[in-house]
Amino acid sequence: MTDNSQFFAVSASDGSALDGKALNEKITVALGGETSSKATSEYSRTYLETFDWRLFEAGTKLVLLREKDAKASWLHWINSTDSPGGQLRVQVKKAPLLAEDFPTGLIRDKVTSLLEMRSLSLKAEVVTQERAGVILDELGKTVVRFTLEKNKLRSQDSKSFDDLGYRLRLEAVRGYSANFRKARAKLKTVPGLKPVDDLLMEQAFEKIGRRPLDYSSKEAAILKPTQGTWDACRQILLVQLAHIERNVDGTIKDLDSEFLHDLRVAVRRSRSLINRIKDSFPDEVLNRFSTDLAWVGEVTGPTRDMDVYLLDFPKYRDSLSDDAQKDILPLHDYLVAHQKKQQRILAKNLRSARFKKFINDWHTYLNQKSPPLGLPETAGISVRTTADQRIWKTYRRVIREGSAIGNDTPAEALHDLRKTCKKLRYLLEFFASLYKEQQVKGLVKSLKILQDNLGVFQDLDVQAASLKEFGRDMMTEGGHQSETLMAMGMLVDGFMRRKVDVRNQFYDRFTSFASPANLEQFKQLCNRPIKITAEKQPSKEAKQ
Amino acid sequence: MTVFAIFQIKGGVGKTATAVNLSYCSATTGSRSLLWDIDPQGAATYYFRVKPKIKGGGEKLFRNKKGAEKFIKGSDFEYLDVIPADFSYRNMDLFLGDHKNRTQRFDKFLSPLKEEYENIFLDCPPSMSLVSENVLRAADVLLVPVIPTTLSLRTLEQVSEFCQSRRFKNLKIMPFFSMMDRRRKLHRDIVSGLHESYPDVLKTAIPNSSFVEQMGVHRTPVGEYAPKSAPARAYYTLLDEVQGRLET
Repeated sequence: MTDNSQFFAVSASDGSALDGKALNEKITVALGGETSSKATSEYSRTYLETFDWRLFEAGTKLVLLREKDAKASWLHWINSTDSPGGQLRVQVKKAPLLAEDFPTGLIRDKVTSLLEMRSLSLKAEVVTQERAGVILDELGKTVVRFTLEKNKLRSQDSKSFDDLGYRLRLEAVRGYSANFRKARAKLKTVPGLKPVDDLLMEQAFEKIGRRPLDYSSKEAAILKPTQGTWDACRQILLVQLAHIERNVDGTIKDLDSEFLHDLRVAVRRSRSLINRIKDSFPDEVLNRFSTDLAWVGEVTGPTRDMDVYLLDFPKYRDSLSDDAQKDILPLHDYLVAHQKKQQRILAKNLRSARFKKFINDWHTYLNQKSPPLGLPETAGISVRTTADQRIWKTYRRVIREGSAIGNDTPAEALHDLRKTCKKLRYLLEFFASLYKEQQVKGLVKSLKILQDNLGVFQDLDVQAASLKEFGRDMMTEGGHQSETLMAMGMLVDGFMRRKVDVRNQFYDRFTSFASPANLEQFKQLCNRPIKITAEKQPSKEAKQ
Repeated sequence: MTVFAIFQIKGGVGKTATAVNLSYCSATTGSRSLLWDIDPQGAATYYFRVKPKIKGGGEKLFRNKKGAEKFIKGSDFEYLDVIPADFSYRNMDLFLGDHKNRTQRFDKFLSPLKEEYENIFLDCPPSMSLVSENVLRAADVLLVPVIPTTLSLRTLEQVSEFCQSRRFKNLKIMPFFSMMDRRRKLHRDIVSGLHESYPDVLKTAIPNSSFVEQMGVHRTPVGEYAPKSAPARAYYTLLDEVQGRLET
């Protein structure tokens, strides 16, 4: 129930519900006053959503409405914070996939920031027959709208329907909320009508095997401090394996770049954990699966590189002068062509017997209910002890590596530090459930500031090198104008200048992360002895 | 968001009919639309069957910290809302004069609505006053209905001169013929003459029609009771032409 609308389930036992028309009349009588109703209409509504429920999280629904036999459809934007009747709509020929597919206008403006690079890959359809009516005031003005709906859910294979029966929708008209409240109160007293929540979208997605927020790339395993290390790591790796598996289909179909991104993150996290907790796994297991995970990382890398350049292309282009913006366009064509080529190779690898066998065997290993024979002794140590040790060790390594970086230190040292920071970040996230939530959050936040600086530095370095390589490759391919290469040169120049600025910021970022306050936080987190400061130590005089 | 002001110094040229029908066309073609009836006579408000009342009087519009939300009324048509007229609007010049930045009050008032509406239509009273100056500052497009008569042409020149003298930023002036009767030679002559001397005049003309006059009887836009009539179609064409011109 909201202040703008109210839904009522219509009892199946109510005989008049069978044809809807009689019930409509009954409702009209119950509402009293003057009402007017329109003819029955039939349409399909398709709920659109991203794989990771970005619209749902923002309290928004995107619904594609197509009336029976109509050529065009209306795309409706509905937000829970809308004023009554405050939805937006736009006419489209087919369902848009990416934000750039939306016609220009308010819906596109709103959807662009929500979707970013994600596609509307989830679709769930409901077929509706409805009879709409309105309540009029003494001037004959519409003050409340009501609609009797009969809904059917389409199944995943599109061949069958689930009949949901009748429901009544009562909607406020903006500026006439008192009339809405009055009508709602009256309908609550009508036998056979039961106030219900609007769960049609959830029911439609359930029919295709999804429920809201059932996927998040940030999902983490919930561990118990006394749990053995092997068992806890198995649980963490299972979550990562699920992420890999859930993103395979979208990656192969190239629905959007985020499927591949999430798949690679899960692979990287799995590799990182295995390498941090080496002594809790048998060597043969480590060798086998580390190799396979490294292989997946390797075969998915070139496509991801192209995706990143394509995602950043508008930023590159906008940083150039008007003339150079035109000159740089062939680079976009080059990137698109090479992304497609790499994508085909990637899809082939993800469909390969080797990939399937790896997933299958990794499943079998991780799904063992009890620890297998031949595990190292350290595998049984409590996960809290292991987590304390690993986090502390990696934190100390970050401090050691960062402290050794001066103005003249080669860029490689910053890249190495970036990798160590990433390992620390993963450890904090893997084992977050073992610690106080706020403590871990604070440390991750502080680490993230340093990581952002190192990440931008690395990206600029890599992007400059890649652009030079693309330039050489484009020259070899032939057919490109020298103006394009000059525009690419301007980009490289811009990257290099920015790199100097970013490096200059490093010292402050690192000093902040390496602060005594953070040190104390890490000590506390990892159960290390905390140095008692002179002020806190009781003096001899005080003791006497 | 685009703000369209339907504006003419002369009365009885079809301003309200244009505002009501264009906002209806805008909503039915998918754009979330708002009509603000600034004319104290409240004819547009009447056509939409909304009570011509702003709680606390028109002055409240600019003093309410929560913005316009409290004053907006949904019309009988989805995607079309109305801010009704109030008889106190006749004193709007007086209460605008009390404010700082007195020529920018409308702009400030409409600004938060940019997130919500794609098109806003202002049905303006026939005058040249502080209200008009506010309208011209807030609007992106000035739609000037012109009846093909000498007096109406004269007022078009006055409006153009006024806009030029004040240099309203980015305001596009789009005159169009209203209440056009093709059977009358005078109308035909004026139309062809004005198109030559004033190429910015829109090609679409709204015909003089009894269907438009019947709006008062039906209290609804022409498109609702005579969807296939010449004026109903002409309003859609007019909106299309205006939007096309904005895109170029």
